Amino acid sequence: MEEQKLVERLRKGQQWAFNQLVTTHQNRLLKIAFGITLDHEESLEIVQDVFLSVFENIDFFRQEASLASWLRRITINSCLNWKRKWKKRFRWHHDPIDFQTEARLTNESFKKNDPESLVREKQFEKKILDAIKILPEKLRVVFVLNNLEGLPYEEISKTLDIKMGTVRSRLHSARKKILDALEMSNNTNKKRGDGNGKKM
Amino acid sequence: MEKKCDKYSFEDINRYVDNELPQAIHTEIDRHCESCVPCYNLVASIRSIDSVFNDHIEQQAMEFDQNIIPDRVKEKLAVTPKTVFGNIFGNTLGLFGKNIYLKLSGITAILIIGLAMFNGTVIGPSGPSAIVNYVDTELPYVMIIETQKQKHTIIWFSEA
Repeated sequence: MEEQKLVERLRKGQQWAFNQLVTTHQNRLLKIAFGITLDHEESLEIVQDVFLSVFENIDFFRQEASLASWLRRITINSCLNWKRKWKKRFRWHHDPIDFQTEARLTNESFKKNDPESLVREKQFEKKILDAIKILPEKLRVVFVLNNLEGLPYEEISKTLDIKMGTVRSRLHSARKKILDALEMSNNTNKKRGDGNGKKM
Repeated sequence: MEKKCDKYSFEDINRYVDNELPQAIHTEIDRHCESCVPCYNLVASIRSIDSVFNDHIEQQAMEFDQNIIPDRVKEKLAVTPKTVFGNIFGNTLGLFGKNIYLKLSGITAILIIGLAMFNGTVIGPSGPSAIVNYVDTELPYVMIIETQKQKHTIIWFSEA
């Protein structure tokens, strides 16, 4: 269905058109929301509110950009507002998710043939995810848009209303921080490994 | 610590991975990575970070129940459906077209008619509508009258 027609039907308040909008975009928006918040329930809340907001404000959608970009923008703003709101209340942390992930990874590994190498692989993944979790908000949003949405630097700069050079430097900083965290943990592991070796 | 490449910076490699370099430089780094171990490893590390993150989010997204959002949204919209809300307000305010003066005069007319329909029950006189000071009669009597709509009580008292 053409976007123009979908928007017209949304403006008329047709339920069918709204179902179409949700079905088409919810998965993508959930990924963006989860990528930024790393919280399952909050992602659902955010995306739900995004659709409600679209439904209420569809008359203001001027179709200068695509519906997908408009939805993306609303989702990012909602995620950032969510983070700001919660930051004020208490320190942001995701221990329950860490726990769930670890439990899931361990269970999966045991089901496979080579549990040892799989556990090692999963530990590596966990380190990456841990490093991503502690990325500053500004770096993380750029990282999410580049990875999950596959957006080029120019598109990211338009979405976030920042300069292309800023996009580039934020993305590089994000990767640098993740790589540094990995290297640091590798060095720590090597040192621990050496220590164990001497004892043996 | 692994030895770094002197030819290409970390930023160059990042832009290479993101396909943000001119084609000629991109091809050049392609060839360079075949022989440069640090650059090759850096490209591999960046790609593995991206891939781990994407896979993780993909996996998490699969765990979302696809019906939750449509159901929740429908539930919320059922409370304030746009079709009902939009039509009520749309028709009331859009009845007189785009002319603001027509709209204002329309609203004023509705207010006047509304006030007239209340017939004084809401904003009518709160005190007595009239006070009779003197009745010229020779017969003593008391008359109590209650008005029909406003339920005002009139006490008519006369001394002989």
